Amino acid sequence: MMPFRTLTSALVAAMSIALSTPAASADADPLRAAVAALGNINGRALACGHTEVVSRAKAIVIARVAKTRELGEAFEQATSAAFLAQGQQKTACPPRAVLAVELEVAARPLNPPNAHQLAATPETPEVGINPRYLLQAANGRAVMDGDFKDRFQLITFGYTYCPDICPTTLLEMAAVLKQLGDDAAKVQALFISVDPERDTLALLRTYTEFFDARILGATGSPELVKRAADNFKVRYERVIDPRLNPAHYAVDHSAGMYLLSPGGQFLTKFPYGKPVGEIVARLREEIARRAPADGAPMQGVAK
Amino acid sequence: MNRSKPNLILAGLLATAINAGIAHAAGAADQITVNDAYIRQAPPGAMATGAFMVIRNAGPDEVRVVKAASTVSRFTELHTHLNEGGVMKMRQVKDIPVPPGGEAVLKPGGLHVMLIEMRLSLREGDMVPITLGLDDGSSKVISVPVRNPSSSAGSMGGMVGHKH
Repeated sequence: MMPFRTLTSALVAAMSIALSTPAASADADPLRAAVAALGNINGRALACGHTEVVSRAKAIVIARVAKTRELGEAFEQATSAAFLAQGQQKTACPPRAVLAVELEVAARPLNPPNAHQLAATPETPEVGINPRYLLQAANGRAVMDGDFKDRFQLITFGYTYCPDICPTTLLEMAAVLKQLGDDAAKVQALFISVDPERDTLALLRTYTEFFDARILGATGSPELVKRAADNFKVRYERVIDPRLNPAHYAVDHSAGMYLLSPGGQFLTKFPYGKPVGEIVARLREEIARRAPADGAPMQGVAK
Repeated sequence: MNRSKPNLILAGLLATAINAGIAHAAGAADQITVNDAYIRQAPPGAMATGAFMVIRNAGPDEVRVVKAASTVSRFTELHTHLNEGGVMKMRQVKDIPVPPGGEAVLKPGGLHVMLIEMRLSLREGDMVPITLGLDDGSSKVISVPVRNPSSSAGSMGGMVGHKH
């Protein structure tokens, strides 16, 4: 199997090229350039752990940028590129205040804020979870929290060598998808490996497919994984049993599932052992709440 | 892979297990019955998996399971999980007590028999002998079916609690 590190470098290189090209050609459009500038600051803030700046950038985009696919992509692409570039740089992170000011300056060319919208913007997490991540999916593509604009995300952290807790959680995740029926299309299930040294993308894929092919495996360089785990307040630690082959270490880790809204706001955490039925009920409730008024009838929801 | 072909190694082991089962030493093992045992089929490439069961003690004295053995894994151990602030920590335990007239429930997320460093890849329907060593030196050999977790997921929750 291909060592993960090699794969990572190749992918990061490929991603940098892919991500920087459209951003450069977009400068002709001032609005798009302004949005990309916001994304750049957002990406650096994300990489440097300045969560308040990230929240503010998100709030500005929600309140002041038209919700078009093109602008959304410009923001996400600039975010990814800046996040990766900052992560690769050995230079120190800019202080939070500097980025915060840059952000306000960058936001000036945008439409003035609509007071009503700003007030209604849900602020990031009550419990300090900042559900940001940028990783590689088992299909080889980059994946980040903002990728699923129309879908909820149901996320769990673990590792494939995990003998009991992870299989149990993934079985429950598979059961949730099954019980949701057609509504499962509105949910992206993700399994994030905190063990990138052993969990190659290929291994992650066969692992998650064993439970349900709809569960997307993801991991990244140890630094990206650490960043994602920190953002979710997930703790993990290797436990080496001296009797065993040292490659067969276990990893203690925070169990449970995280639910993000479409667009990536943190909604709740389901602790390990939460009955599948209750998770399904909560998801149906959230799906119903977001259903368009003239959308599908709600009878299916109560079932 | 031919799924319907019986696993020869396991068939051999099973025969041994049945013989051993008939010949097991008298003692605490006679008070013990094991129900609802299964090994969770591990995902491809997994290093370890768990065996779960309900161990009942019909006798007047506490019986402690002090070890487990199996030929399908390099190490076979008694484990439990500690939930420390949401972090699940799996740790070996020195024994699993089964109270007189009561039972010990080995289930996912809690007590279990851990099969570590699997020697072969188990398939659904395989029968794996596991020997439970008890504190008085007697032992109990059980034959444990391998279950695909997805196909047994629905029954797993009910299985443990539904016995009277």
